[in-house]
Amino acid sequence: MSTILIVDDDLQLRRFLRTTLAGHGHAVAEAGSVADAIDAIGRVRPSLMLLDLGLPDGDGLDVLRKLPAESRPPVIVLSARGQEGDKVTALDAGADDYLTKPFGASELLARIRVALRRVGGAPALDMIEVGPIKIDQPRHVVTVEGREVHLTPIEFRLLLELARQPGRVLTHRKLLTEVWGPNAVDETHYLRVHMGALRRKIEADPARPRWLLTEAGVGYRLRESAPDTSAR
Amino acid sequence: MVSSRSAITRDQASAAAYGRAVLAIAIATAVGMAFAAYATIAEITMLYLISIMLASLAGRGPSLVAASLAVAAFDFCFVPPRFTFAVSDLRYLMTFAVMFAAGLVISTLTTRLRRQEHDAVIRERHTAALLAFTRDIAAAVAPGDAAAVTVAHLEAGFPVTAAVLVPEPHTPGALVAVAGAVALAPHELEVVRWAFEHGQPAGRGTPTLREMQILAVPLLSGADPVGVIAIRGPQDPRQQGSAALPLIEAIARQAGLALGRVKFADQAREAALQARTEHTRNALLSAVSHDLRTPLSVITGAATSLRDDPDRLSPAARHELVSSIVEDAQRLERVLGNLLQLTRVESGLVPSRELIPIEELVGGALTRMEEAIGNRKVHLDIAPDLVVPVDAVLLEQVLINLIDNAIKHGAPPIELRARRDGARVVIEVRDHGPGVPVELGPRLFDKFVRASMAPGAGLGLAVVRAIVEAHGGTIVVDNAPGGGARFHLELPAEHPAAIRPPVDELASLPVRDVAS
Repeated sequence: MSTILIVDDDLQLRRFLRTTLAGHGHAVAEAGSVADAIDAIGRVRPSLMLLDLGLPDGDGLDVLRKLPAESRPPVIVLSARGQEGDKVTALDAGADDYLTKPFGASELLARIRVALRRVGGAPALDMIEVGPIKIDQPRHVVTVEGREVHLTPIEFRLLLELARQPGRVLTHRKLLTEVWGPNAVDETHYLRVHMGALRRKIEADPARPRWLLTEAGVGYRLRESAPDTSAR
Repeated sequence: MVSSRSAITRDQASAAAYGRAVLAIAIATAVGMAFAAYATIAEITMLYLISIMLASLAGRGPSLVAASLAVAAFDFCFVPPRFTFAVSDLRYLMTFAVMFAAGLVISTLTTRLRRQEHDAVIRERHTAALLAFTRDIAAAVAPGDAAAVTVAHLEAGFPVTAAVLVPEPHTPGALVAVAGAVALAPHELEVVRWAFEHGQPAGRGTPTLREMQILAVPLLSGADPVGVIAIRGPQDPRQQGSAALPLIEAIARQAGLALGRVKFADQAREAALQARTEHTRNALLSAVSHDLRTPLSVITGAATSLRDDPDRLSPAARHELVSSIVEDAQRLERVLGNLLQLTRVESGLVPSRELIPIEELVGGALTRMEEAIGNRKVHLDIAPDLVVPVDAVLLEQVLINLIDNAIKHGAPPIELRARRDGARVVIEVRDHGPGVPVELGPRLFDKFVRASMAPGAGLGLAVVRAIVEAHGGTIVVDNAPGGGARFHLELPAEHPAAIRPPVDELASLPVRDVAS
């Protein structure tokens, strides 16, 4: 059973998270400050951490900074809308994903599922399948609903990065670094243009994407399962 | 410095003029000696008079030297008994007196003319300098600009270093330099402070503390000192002529007025912003009391009912209550989100701008509105590769609010169009509902104005307008032919060098015209 560490100073939010997570079979540990969180990570070795950014004794990011990368569990940051800059900072500092408050239980559980799946590291599969998209890595062949689409090398790299971690948001900086290299981190416009081209090849309607989702001000996310309006 | 430069030339000219005076008399004597046999004393007198006159043109000193030499030489060489300084006839004393008088009169006239000419030149230069300064200072829009222009003009016009000091806003009595650099000793700083506090020039060349090395001229806006200029001149005191002071004072007057104008404009802007903030706060309070409490009442009621007597409720009733809790919580979140966004944009937040494909903005908005749209039809007509320099998060909010508006007040299908039109990008959001009440007009975009009885705080469109205007764009609404509301949004298509934040519209308030 996986233990999830909740780091938030608000008791009511912790109560909601504790009840919901316990109801879905997760063990739960709690911390209300940066110091408590670091202490708890050493004690309970959580397999995932839900981290609020505003803590009484410091910034939630301090928890990330004070832990060596190898002893850091996957982290989902809890933040408010309008704090896109903070989200990007947290993601670039090593957080895995974020949830915008207020969030529903199903959204919370879906994010946790995605983050926990990564605990063993992203599997280096030859064949990746996300929704209707199939990627044959060694042959550089991509099909959507069985129909082959021709991608440029950059579009292929872009899709591959997103498909390796389906459901996870990747920041502009992360994608630019992975696809173009560390000197390109500010060339967000590049990324948008190529993402637009990729959408035109993958999506039925590029202006109403079902798979390649935009997280405004943050980055992109490849939806991991079929969009189902009733479940969200 | 204009006057000091000509002072130098005059001094150098004097040395040469004395030489020429001596030379003129020597020549007159030589010529007189050569023609002594043919000329009468009267003609030789004329010769000397002409020489004195010529020498007198250079000023009083050379004139006196020439007259003295002429009298001596004339007496010695020509007045009998010749080659002695003895004078046989008292008539010659009269001749000597005429020689001196002629020199004196001519040199006085020349000097006066010279001075007038010199003054005219200086006045002209000062007028030109002042004109140039007035023109430049009029363009200043910030206190720093006005101060920098003042320093630049002073340092270009005079061989001095200058600095403009203004009161430090947070420390009473302290002065801080905003332009230029002049090192001040403690006692010199006292001079500067004195000039600022008394509103009168002090230091070198002024009636107060004229022996100081520093000159301090206050900057007055009306009667209020708004700053002070500190000027350190060249080491030679003769070069800081008194003629410079009036010009420096004139510059200081203009600079003071300009600083005052800029300051008043700032204050007016602040006051207007304050008034607007006040207005927003009041409107917010009334909104909070109604539009936040209503959903909260629903949530509290439904939740307590579920907690207190769950056994009496049928499964259908329980589901109903839970749904209303969820929906009203979402309603609360929307109202709060819009309020926050509005406050942020109206407080003068400058949007961060990147070139974003419209397709991506629309896609992002539709994804976030997926659930609310449900199975309503959405028609898209978006020119491919159309990019617009905007803040992605804010523009997505604009589209979300417009789509939300179409869902709540309109009817499907919802149509979204985007195209380039010259230097603008045009985005249209249209529905097929009953349309907007035309009599509301632009008031529809005001805070807390609602077109129908549909729930909401009437903030969504206010947020839309605030964000669009912060991007230098415009938005209007009308009823489309065939029915339905049509929102027509225009944004600059090019990355603007400087798009003004909404606060800047306050700069056009009438207050500024009065001050300037």
